[in-house]
Amino acid sequence: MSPRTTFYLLTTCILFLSLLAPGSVSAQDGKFALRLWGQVSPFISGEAGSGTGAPDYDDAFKSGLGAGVELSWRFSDRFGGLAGIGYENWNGKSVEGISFDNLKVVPVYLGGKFYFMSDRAGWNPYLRMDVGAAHLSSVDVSYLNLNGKYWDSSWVFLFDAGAGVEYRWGKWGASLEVRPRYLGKPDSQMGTPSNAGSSWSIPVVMGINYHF
Amino acid sequence: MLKRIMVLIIVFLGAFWAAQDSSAAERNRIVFISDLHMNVDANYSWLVDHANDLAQFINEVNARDDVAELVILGDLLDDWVSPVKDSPQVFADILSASNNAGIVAALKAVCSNSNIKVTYVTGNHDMLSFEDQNKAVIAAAFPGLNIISESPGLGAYTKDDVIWAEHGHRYCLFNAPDTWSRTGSHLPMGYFISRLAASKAASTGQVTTTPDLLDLFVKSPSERLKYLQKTNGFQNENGEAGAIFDDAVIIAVFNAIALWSGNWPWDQFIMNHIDGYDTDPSVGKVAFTYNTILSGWPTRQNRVSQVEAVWNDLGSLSSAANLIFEMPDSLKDKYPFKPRIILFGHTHEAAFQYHSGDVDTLYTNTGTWIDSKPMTWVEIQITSGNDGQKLYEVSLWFYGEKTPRQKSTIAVTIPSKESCKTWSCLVYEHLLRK
Repeated sequence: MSPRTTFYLLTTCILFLSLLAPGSVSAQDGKFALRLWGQVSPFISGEAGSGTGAPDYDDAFKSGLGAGVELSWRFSDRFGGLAGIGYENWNGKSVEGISFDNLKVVPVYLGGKFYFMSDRAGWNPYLRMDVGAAHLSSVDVSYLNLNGKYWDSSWVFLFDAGAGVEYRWGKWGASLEVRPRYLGKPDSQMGTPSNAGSSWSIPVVMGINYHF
Repeated sequence: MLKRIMVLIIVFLGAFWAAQDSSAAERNRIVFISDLHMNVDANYSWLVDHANDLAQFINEVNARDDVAELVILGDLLDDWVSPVKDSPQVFADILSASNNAGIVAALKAVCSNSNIKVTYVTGNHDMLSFEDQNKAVIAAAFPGLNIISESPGLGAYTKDDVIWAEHGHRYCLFNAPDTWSRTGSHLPMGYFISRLAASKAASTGQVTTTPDLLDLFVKSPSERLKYLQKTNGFQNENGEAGAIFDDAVIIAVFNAIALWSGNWPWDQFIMNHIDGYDTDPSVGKVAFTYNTILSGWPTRQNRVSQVEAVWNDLGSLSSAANLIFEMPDSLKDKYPFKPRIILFGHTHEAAFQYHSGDVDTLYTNTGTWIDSKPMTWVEIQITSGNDGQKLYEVSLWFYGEKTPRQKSTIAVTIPSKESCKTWSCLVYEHLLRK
């Protein structure tokens, strides 16, 4: 793991833990929320290798499915902070007879929210931005009975920003978000052909929130 | 005296030079054989009379100084041809059978020859060679043998992104691995037809091979009807035993072959728990199990159409080869390169079809070594041509003849390592190097 990714990871973990630590915030009723989310990413763009005819991520992987949990704290009428962790799976595809294994992603992130309306009941549209790290699984490629490691597992930088809306009734809420996401480059294990670029995807995230 | 010594020295040096020259002959030939069908010592086995010739041939290949590789393109062993009511033989039985001793010894010897790489690619009659225990039996019998056999019973040999060689059963309706008709199994309907053929041969002493049997019963509705009339239950509603080419015809073919072989719908195939069979299926049950293999083919196997898949089993595998040469978009992700030379076996009919055009291509079938057919093989000699080309001289041989029946050369410009810049080429190169 490079020093840069170590830094991202440690920073993310420390901030995540500080948010959860008892006494670090004054927990007033309704300021905190626990959210379970599920997401669909219809496509992912970026170069998944190098050389003439190298595939894009979209050529190598089908749409991604994921789920996770998020803890948020609305510390003022307009602003909130959050931390979350998830798990995503992108099924591999075949490119020119070369089959990609599934790519598994574990995002760990911290973020902030800006609420358009100070009223916490009913509809709550908001903007959000997250920064963190994502663990990418290793990915093998195979051709007939030959098999080799294409990318090794690694931690990469994560950034996303987007908009969403939550509808609240009492302690419960349901939310829908779209937030374009950037992920750093995976760790090439085959030299030039597996030397991939960073990726962009547009996850559509649905969640159920419990406020306390 | 001095003169004599000089002459002796010259003769000795000349002999030494000649010996050096012959030992330095280039090993640049690949020998392809297929469809040996080694089986136990029984009157239903397809390879009995030709066994000594085959052993002799393998020994000759082993002794040659121009052979770099021997490739056995499927159906090396045959655990399909076994009478319905016998417990089916396993590979260990076949390899230890006395009738195969010469072939096994010859193959073992060539496998231990470090100058010749020996590769075995699975066929349909030995498709369960992908199972670990079967693979271990073959590997133990022939140390050093390169085994290409993957689940569900397929494999392919490739060379230089030019040669594509496989048994060919993948493209055949009755004999492609079938993991759809019965959960947990791989054996197709062709397996059961082979067993019916073995039953008939065991009772009459007259061997009929599965390709010949399919040829007879698929092409001739009257032949089907002749046997189906023995019962009332097997004809279609028109009493024509399948005049239209549909699932009913396939089942009619199977039922007619069963009756031809002397087996009734309630007769059971002894399976001895192979390929996920916990109980022994009856003839009627097998017919029911495979009753949609024709209509269901397109959803299971999207390479050739179902009608082509039927004809491929009757000896027309050249259409599958031509399709691969054309490489339509639907096939591009299934083959790592567009081959120039394709070899199949399976049909038991040696074939050689050279197509000239913008890009020359060549399809050849290795034929077989079974008793009822001529003993044939294919050789490919690879040499360097002008302008960085490689020349692939393909020849079709009949055993006992001193010159090949057919011969053609395909010239291919091989990309140099420096020009391997495409992503797929770089990945293949990495995987092959690994």
